[in-house]
Amino acid sequence: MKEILKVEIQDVSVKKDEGYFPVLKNISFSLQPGNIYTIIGKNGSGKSTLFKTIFRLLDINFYKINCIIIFKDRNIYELNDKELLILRKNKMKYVLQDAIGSFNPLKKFAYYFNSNNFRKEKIEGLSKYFLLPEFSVLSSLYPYEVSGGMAQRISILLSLMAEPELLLLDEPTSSLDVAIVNLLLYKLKSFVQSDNKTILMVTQDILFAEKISSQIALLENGRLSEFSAPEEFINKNKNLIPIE
Amino acid sequence: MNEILQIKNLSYSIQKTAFTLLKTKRINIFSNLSFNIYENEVVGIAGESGSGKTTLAKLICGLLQKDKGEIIFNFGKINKNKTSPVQILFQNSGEILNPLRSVNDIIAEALRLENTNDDKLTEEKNKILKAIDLPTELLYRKSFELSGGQQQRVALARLLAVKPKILILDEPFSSQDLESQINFIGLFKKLQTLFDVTIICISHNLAALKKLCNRILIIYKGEIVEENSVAEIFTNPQNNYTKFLLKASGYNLLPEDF
Repeated sequence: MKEILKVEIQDVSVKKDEGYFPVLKNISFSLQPGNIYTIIGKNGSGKSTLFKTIFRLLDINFYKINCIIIFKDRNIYELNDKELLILRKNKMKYVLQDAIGSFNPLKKFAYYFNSNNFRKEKIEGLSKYFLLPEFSVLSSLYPYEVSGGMAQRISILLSLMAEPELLLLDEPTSSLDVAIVNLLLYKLKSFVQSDNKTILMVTQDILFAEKISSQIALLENGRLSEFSAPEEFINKNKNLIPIE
Repeated sequence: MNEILQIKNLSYSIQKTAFTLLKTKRINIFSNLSFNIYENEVVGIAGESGSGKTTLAKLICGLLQKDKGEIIFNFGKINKNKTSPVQILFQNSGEILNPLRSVNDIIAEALRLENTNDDKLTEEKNKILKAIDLPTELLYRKSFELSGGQQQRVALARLLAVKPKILILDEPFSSQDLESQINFIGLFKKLQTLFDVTIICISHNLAALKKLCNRILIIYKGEIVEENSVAEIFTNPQNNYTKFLLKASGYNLLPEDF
């Protein structure tokens, strides 16, 4: 099958004092549709920078970026603003780690639900699935009125509604209850399998990664190991085994 | 075993005002909650968010006023004028430190509350710094220059400086990677024996509680549904909610289980 995303990063460096400090070095991988790919890494290993590089969100005033990101035969770094906007609207979604901060604090959630021609029944179904309040209640809330976990669920819900071909998730479980993480795991799996979509995510939760992923890789000091199947990955990285 | 803390028939409710300000109603968070905490044990309180874990911690250390019931401490003789023997480490420890003060100042200030003797101060400070594994070169850094884990250690040092009898930890493992979680579990265990303190650890992370605690209380919708030793809870859970939580933490639930 044809790959959906091809990433080739020579280096990404951030401006520091007079020079540049390297964050990511020599990373290349490609993603096949219908799979969930997980990247595991400690705090500060460059996980979020990698995602922002892929999504072209890094500020070129502060970062020196040397990479080729090919999404369905187009290099993302060669698209004009309008094409990039369309891509981000329908094809490729990125759920940020800071869920509350990713919403406009002056707009109610109704704004996000109504502005995208989403089917109301589908939102209702999903919000019920994720144990969120009723649609009418949810629509009338502002982002600062909900808890971190709720904002994270709404953020994931909105990105699933858009049915993107590639979904990037930055620590999707960080502020969720364990019980809800179970629901998320199930939903993401069926999303990928039924519609032949692709998910790339970073997490620190190794058990979650093991349960959900088709392929796992380790990011350490700005370098990415090769993607391998969960059992193989756990065997290779015994030091990462979760607390028993 | 001596009870260091007895909670008897504790009730607490909050007032909820509707948006129109016309209707108010009281919502019970706890009604008739009773349990004991014994001296020098490490006890875990687990439950999902919204079950009242943090509210309980705030009630114990006196930040919230109870409606009814009794909270009895058995500390023996303590000096009433000094700092409270119940201290709490909050979830967002980075935000409660003054970002522009040095680590040294923060710890010294807390130490002065307990003893005024300057010679002893340095000695005590070194003892605490050694206990929390904070490198000495960080002593003159300002708190905003530290990482999240280091800030949490400094906040912990400040609490230990006033020699608490009970230390409450509110979600100490959230937003930490696996390696620092394991480090902190080791640290808390060490501090418990070093400072003779009773630790109450609130967390939804059952795996971490299993490593850290002697005993676990499971709290659900403001009630303690199960209370047992770690071994019993994990091998032979009685309550359905406990079973649900255990299954959830292994990510083995299906949507039908909700």
